[in-house]
Amino acid sequence: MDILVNNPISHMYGPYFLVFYGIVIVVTGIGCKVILQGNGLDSGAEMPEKPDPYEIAYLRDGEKAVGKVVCLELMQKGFVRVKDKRIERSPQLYNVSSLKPIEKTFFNWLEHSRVASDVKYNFELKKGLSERCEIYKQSLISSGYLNSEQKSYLVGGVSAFIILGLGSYKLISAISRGHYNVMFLIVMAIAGTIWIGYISCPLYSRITTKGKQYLNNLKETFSGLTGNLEVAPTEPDYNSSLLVSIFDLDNFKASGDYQDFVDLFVFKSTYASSYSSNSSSGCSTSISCGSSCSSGSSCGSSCGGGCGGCGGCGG
Amino acid sequence: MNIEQQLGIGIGYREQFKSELFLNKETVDFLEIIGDRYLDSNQYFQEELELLTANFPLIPHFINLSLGSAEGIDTDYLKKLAKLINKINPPWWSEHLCFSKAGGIDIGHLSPLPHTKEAIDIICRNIKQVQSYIDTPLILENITYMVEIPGGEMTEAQFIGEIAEKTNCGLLLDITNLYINSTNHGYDIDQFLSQLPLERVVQLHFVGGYSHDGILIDSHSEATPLEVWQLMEKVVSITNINGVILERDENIPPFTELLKELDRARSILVSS
Repeated sequence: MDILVNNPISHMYGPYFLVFYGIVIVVTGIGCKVILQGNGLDSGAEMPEKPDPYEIAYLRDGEKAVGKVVCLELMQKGFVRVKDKRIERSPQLYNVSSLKPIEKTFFNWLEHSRVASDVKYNFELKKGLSERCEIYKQSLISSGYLNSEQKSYLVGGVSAFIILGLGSYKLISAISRGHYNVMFLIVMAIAGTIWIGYISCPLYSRITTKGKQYLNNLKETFSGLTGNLEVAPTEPDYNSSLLVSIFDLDNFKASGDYQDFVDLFVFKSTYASSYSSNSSSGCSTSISCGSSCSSGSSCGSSCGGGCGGCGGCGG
Repeated sequence: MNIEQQLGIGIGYREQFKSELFLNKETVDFLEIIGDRYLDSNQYFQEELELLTANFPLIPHFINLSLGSAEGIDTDYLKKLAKLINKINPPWWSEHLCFSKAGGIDIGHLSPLPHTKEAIDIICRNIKQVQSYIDTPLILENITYMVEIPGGEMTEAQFIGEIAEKTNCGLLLDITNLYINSTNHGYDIDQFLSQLPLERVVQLHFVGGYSHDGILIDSHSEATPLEVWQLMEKVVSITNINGVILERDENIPPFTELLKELDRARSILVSS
């Protein structure tokens, strides 16, 4: 037991301990971030044969994004329509058995007409989609693109325990020796714990670095794709679903029934879009522009054609 | 030179069809990339290269090494090229049998060499220098030419064959170029093939060009013509081919059209 009372830490001179404690907090925070976000060495560049729009949407923005893609799929299949700024079932006979489970969940929830914000925020729908998205979640976690909440809490908890434990020990040790100038120690312990809480918060640490890189690669790869959102919905168009899952709807060009669908969801983000456009991006509303600008070097892409020049000169 | 790896049917990567390419990944066995595009450390291109490397077997194809330059090889370019090839680690890589630099000036064109012993000595010297930097097998591509340089001492096929034998290089037989040259210069394709060391042919290029005033132009802009398909059938029936590349650069059609050409090439390769 003597080691608990007499050891280098308990005897360390106050200012020196604060420096040491600061280093422990920083190292613990970096360790926590690396464990949750990954080291960035694995770039997530490998693409699946046919990316699943629901899985990509779930990775990008959870159930909210999945809801939009499901709604679009159901529109394309003729189960759902947009009328008077509300989403409702189409007036026709349904073969619900042809739907995927996640689509059935959405369709069943749509017993009454709904507004767009319901798709994003309705608790009942979110709960239903969450259950159906479990398969995507597990797949994304095993691929290293997502962190589970349990992992975030565990890593955050252990990190906070290290910081608070060391701080508390020194605090008790100092007070037991009659030193009461412990304000800096308390402030550092609280600040360090808040910082760890921020780093490990599931909302902040949900997508790993590899997952973010994967989303960027998807944006780069499919920026040239054109969705079929300018004709009346008749049958599912994979490209459209994939584009919505990757890019959301903010910059989507559409017409007819699809335009109603797009308007329904982008209405509230109009201010945000215009603000973003005015402030930095300078992009038009074209989806391909929005995506290529994210690379930071879209101008470079024009060289692709130039390389083919060998064709014209004998190659 | 012994290359075992069979890559199958692929396409020359062009950014214009990147999205469709990834959506049809399973139908493209490998990609040929223009290596010059990735020589510098431009972040956008390096990320693109990383993406392509993670998803397809890659063969780098270069256009500006200028193997036929009498003044020798640009060593700065060669060092960058060697670094890129080491990074990709392909089963082989390719360049053209031509010169594109003279007197320190990049002439921006794949220009033909005279079919002479002297030209062979120069190009062999240059290739030996390249091989001292890069262990990966080099394969050499035949080009098209509008004018045959006077003073030739041998046929084009003999010229190509002797260089390949002396340097132990493989050949990238561009069957479209062969068809165009044979038409424009009036020589016999069968005779050309009989003079070529066919066992050294590793890869084929094919695509379509257009005709202007009776002259065929290698524009890489049209669907593959029937004559080139027939030539492909002939070549794959008499020698083993490790990979075939559709090399479309201009006037790029919907990707489904390109896939049809790849399917046709695959059926020819499989039936050989």
